[in-house]
Amino acid sequence: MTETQAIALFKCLADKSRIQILKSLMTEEMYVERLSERLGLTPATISFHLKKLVDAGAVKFRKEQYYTIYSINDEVFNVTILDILKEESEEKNLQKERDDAYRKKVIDSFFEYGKLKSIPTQRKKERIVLEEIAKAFEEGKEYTEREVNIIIADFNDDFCTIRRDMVAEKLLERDKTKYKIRKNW
Amino acid sequence: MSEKGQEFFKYLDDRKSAVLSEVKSLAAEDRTDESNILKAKANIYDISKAVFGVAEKAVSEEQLRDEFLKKFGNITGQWEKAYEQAKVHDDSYKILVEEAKLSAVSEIKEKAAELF
Repeated sequence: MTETQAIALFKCLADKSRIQILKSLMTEEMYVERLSERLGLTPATISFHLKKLVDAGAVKFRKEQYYTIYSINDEVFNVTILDILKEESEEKNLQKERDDAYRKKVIDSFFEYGKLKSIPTQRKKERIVLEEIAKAFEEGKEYTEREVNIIIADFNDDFCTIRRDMVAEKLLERDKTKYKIRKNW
Repeated sequence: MSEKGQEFFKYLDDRKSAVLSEVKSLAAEDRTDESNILKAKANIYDISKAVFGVAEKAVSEEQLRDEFLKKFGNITGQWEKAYEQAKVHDDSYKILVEEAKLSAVSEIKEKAAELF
């Protein structure tokens, strides 16, 4: 259940009439008129609440001859509040989308046909550029300085600066004469 | 205003108060949607007072009932149409709102017929 769905469900449940309808449906499946008689609400009022409950996913329905039979949607109620809270926040996803869009913008601005046009002066942008270059390295493989320079030179002639900056940004690990790309940067 | 007119206004005010008290109690019972829908009904009593005021100024007391019902009918006719449309489109919210308004309309028409 997404955060939006959870909020819609909780809002929908914050109503005494709808709770009464759900309680009735817990005992057995029912159609509008039966619920209306049972709860002392007009059929139009019951229909209105049932629509809200169906939209929120709390209730499901099926057509049977002339009647529409409503029942509890067990699936929704079997989800615990803890399960809902454990769901990754959509706001977090939105933030990731914004970050990805920014990243793409920086890459599009500084790279042309796979070549780095210039090294960004802003650290945040340079980090993005260096991360892009780091993708050219194989994880776990050890590289000599010459091999590192050759890989970087494919992107930009200033391989010394870039190599040093990659080490400073902890994207590359230097162990005496060998270089290795760091995991999970 | 005539004595009957005053009695009519008193009836409308009393009904409005009763409906608003129901609005409050529904809200207190956490039946917020039903409470909000019922607010639409409370407004109808004020509308009918305004219509009655116009009718009273326009015609004599003998013609007042017909004039009021005619003018009021011009307005409520739209609500009846809206109600029918809501039913056609299965708009459950609109159905309830229009039903609430039209229930006030029948009460008012009945009282007007009784008084004038």
